[in-house]
Amino acid sequence: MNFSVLKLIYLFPLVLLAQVFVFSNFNLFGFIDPQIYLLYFIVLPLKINQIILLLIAFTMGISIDLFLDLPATNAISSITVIFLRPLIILVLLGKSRDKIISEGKGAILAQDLKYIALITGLHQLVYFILDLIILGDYLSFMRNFVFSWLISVFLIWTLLGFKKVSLNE
Amino acid sequence: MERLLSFLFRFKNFLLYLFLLIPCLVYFFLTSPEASSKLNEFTLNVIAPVHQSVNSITLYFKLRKINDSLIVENQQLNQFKFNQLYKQKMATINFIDKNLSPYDLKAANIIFASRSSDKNYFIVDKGSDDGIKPEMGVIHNRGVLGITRDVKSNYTRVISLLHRDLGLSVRVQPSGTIGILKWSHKTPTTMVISDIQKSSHIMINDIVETSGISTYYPDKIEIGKVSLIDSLSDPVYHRILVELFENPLSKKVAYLVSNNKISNIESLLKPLE
Repeated sequence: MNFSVLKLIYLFPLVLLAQVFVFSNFNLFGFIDPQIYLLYFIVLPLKINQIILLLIAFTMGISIDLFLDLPATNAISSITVIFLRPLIILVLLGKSRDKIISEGKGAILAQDLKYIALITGLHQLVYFILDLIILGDYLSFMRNFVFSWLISVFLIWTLLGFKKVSLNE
Repeated sequence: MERLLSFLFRFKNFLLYLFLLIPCLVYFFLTSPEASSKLNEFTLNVIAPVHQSVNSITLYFKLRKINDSLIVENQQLNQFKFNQLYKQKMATINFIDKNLSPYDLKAANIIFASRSSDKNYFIVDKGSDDGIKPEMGVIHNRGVLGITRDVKSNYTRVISLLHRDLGLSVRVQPSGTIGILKWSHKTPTTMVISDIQKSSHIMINDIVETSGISTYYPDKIEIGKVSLIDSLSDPVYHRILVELFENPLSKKVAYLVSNNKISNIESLLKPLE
C-alpha cells in the first residue's frame, strides 16, 4: 500500500473529529463556524478517480451532518465542490494542467491561496444558499457567507502552512 | 444498448453526483417528522454515545463555571423553600390544599446542542429508563429549552426553542399581554413575538415569562426582556424582539418537567363523546 494512501486514510477521522468537536463549537458572532474539514478536499491528490472522490466527499459530508444534526447541508455542498473541482483546477492551471498532474507536482496547489479560496468559497456559497432558501434573509446570507469564508480560508491556509501535507509525491 | 452504455460511461461522474445529490436534497426539504425518524434513531443510538464521551472530557474545563451557577441556583432554591414552608404554614391555618405540587423536575446533562440556522435539537443523557416520555417540557435555570421528542432508553432528543416549528406561549409583564414567542433565526438569544395588537401597552425592558397556558411548562418562568418594538412593519400587530436572559446553546444542565395533572387536563380538552 502506498504511503500517501495511508496518510489519506488516517487524516479522514482526524479532520472529521477536529471539525465536529473543536471547530464547529467556535460560534463566532452567533452562527459562524469555520469549515476546517475542507482542508481534506484541498490536499486530496489530483490523480484520484473522480468517482472515488465523490464517494469520499459524500461520506465526509454526511458524517459531519449526522454528528451535528444538520439536514444534509454539508453533504450537498461537499459533493458539489468535489464535482466542480476539475473545473477549478482547469481555471487555475490552464493548459499546463495535464503536465503538472502527470509529473506529480499537484501538491503545489495545496499551498496556493487562490485554490484554497476557490474550494472554500464554492462550498460556503452552496452551504449558505441552502440556508437562504429556507430563511430568505439576504442580509444574513451575505454576512454569514463572507465572514465564514474568510475565517475558513485563513484557518485552512495557516494549518496547511504549519504542516506541509503533500500527498502527490 | 452499446450507445446507452457509452452514454452512461461518459456521464458517470455526473450521474453519480445526481445519485448522491437527490437523496440529500429530499432529506433537506423534508418536513414530515415521521419520515426522518429512522435517521434520528441512528443519531441517538450511534452518535449520542460519542458525544457523551467527548462531553465528559470537555466538562472538566467548565466545572468552575457550573459550580458558580449551581451556587446561585441553590441560593434561589433555598429562598423558595423557605417561602414555600411559610406558605404551607399559612395554608394549614386557612385550610387550603397544601399538597398542591403538579410539577416534577428531572435533571439531565445536555451532551449535544446543534447550531443550524433553521432546525435545532438537543440531546440529553436521560431516557425512558429514567421515566422520560415524549412531549415533556424542558427548562433550564433561567428559561425554556424545548420539548422532548424521540426517547431512547438512555438518550432523549429535544426539539430546541431555536426551531422553526416550536412556538412558546408567553405573557409580557406588567401589561399581561399574551403572545406566541418564536425564534428569529438570527442569533441564539433573539426571539420574536409577532401577534401582539397595537392597543396593548408594551415598553422596552418589559419582562417576558411563560404564560402557563400550555401544559408543558410551569407558569411564570422568566425568559427574557423586550429589546425592540417594531410598529411599522405590520398595520395591526406589533413585532417585538425579545432578548433571552441566557443563551440556550451554552447551557449544560436541563430540567425535564413532567406534569402530574396532564391526564386530567387532556381529558378535559377531549371532545365529549
